[in-house]
Amino acid sequence: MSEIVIETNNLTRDFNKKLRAVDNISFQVNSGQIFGFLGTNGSGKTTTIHLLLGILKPTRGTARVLGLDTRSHGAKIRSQTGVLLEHSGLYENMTATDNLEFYGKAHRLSPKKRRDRQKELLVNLGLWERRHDKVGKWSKGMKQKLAIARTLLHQPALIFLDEPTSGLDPMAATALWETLTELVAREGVTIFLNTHNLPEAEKWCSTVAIVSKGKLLGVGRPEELKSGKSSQQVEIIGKGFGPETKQLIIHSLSGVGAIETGPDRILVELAPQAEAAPLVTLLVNHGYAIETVNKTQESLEDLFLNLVKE
Amino acid sequence: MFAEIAAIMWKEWRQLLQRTGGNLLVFTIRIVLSFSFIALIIPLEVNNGAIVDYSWNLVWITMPLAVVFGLVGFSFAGERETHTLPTLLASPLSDRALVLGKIAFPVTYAVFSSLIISLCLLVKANILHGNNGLILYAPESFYSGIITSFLLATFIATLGVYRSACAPTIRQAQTSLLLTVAIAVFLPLILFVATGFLLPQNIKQNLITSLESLNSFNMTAISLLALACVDLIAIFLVMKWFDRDRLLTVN
Ligand SMILES: Nc1ncnc2c1ncn2[C@@H]1O[C@H](COP(=O)(O)OP(=O)(O)O)[C@@H](O)[C@H]1O
Ligand SMILES: [Mg+2]
Repeated sequence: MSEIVIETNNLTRDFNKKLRAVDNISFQVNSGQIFGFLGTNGSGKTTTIHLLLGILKPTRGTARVLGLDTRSHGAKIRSQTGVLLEHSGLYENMTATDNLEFYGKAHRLSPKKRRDRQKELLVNLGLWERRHDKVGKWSKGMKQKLAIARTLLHQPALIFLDEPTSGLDPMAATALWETLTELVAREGVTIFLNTHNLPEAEKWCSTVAIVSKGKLLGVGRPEELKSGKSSQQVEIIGKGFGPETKQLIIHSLSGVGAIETGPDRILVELAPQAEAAPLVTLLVNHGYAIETVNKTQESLEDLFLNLVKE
Repeated sequence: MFAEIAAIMWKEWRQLLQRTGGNLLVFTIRIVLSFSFIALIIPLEVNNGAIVDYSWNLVWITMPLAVVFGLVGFSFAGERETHTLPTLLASPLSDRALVLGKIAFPVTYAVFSSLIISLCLLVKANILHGNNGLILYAPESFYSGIITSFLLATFIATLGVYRSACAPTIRQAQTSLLLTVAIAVFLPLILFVATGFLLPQNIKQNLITSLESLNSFNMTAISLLALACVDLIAIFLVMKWFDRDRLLTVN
């Protein structure tokens, strides 16, 4: 059974008495998932992570992480979680192993444990050969991988990643996600992910929370969030459509929603993940002449943009 | 707690080493050469087989000042400049360990420097004047020297860590430390002179005679004790002031 690893109640944080960076946010994160915290720049994502780590104090409201209150048990929370914040936090004038060594010591790992974990993680991430390099010489992608090794060093149950792929090219970003998901599966960690990148949230997160200007606009599975608003629509332009076409589709295909027909145009609503091909094949096989097929899907992106606009 | 302080000191040391080239041997040679040079230009007087000239006492005072001033700005402002501060604050290192570790590193380095220079001085004294047996420091002046060095370095490092925690950049940390130290030194001095004017004549006379009755050993002991108290108070205040939220919201 999954348990609640993060729980916030009306979490609020002001800066300089005027700017409300996080505004009355309440949500829960269950263990074992990748929880996406999605929002444009300045929507309060980083502040939220800082609040959850207990390094910023809430102006109002509460947050519990791993069952511990962030106000009173920050140190304990920090010892049981790993972080990759906005900046990687690596010491660029130190070597890769020195960076890991320092945080290993900070986490009170024994010398043997530090050595073993460093080797295990650096080998897994393909950085072992370069371990004595100064980190400053590395590419952004390598640095992010090393920073991920640092977050996992002490085998935390929960890690916070603040836009881990920002500044990476798409290839490096995908590579990072592949190693990340593999490591996560192996080590069984829950991930709290901040991102402003919608496809990323859609692709990798099991739950997504959308935030804008410090406010939480919605939480759900990516496909839930999508279908909650509208599903995909297929528009077919052709000839000879009529009420019998509608009957044909309803009787032959499953997962079909509302259908609108006109003489040369038919609009079919499909289930979120359904393909348009069977529909087209069906019509062609029954002798309809088809000119074009358009598929419109409300992606998380549309939803996100809509929600943010509202 | 000691393990945490040691972890921070270790990290500061690795960074210092990397800043200066990254090679321990080269680092050591450079330190020894520059300290030998300092020892060479410091004047020296030997009497009855012991180094007596008070000028070398300056070593105990100037070295910690120079070393700590040079290093302490880096402590938090340096982390802020390299954007490593939030990650450091998100580590399980306790507030106390962060403050004490950041203070302890420049202090250790300063005391070490003082020791190495006095060793160089000893070598110099023995080469120049050592024809009638081994020349050593008079023990009490040696020990009071080390303690002075330690306490003075601690005082400046504590102020420095505080200023550095408030400053957005290393440069600003160093400038503001300079000002803070100037105030911390001159304000009591001005107060002292002012009380000299304000105190009634008879109390002043009593004070002077009681001070005159102290021998130099007691004088040193009392000053060091006072300095130690000042250090402890300063450390206590900085630890009380230290707060992760505050460090993250400095602009
Ligand atoms: N330390 C700070 N002091 C003052 N304002 C801040 C501070 N940190 C963040 N803010 C403000 O809070 C808002 C949210 O910032 P942030 O949490 O960094 O957003 P995000 O990570 O989603 O881009 C922004 O308007 C930002 O300027
Ligand atoms: Mg951010």
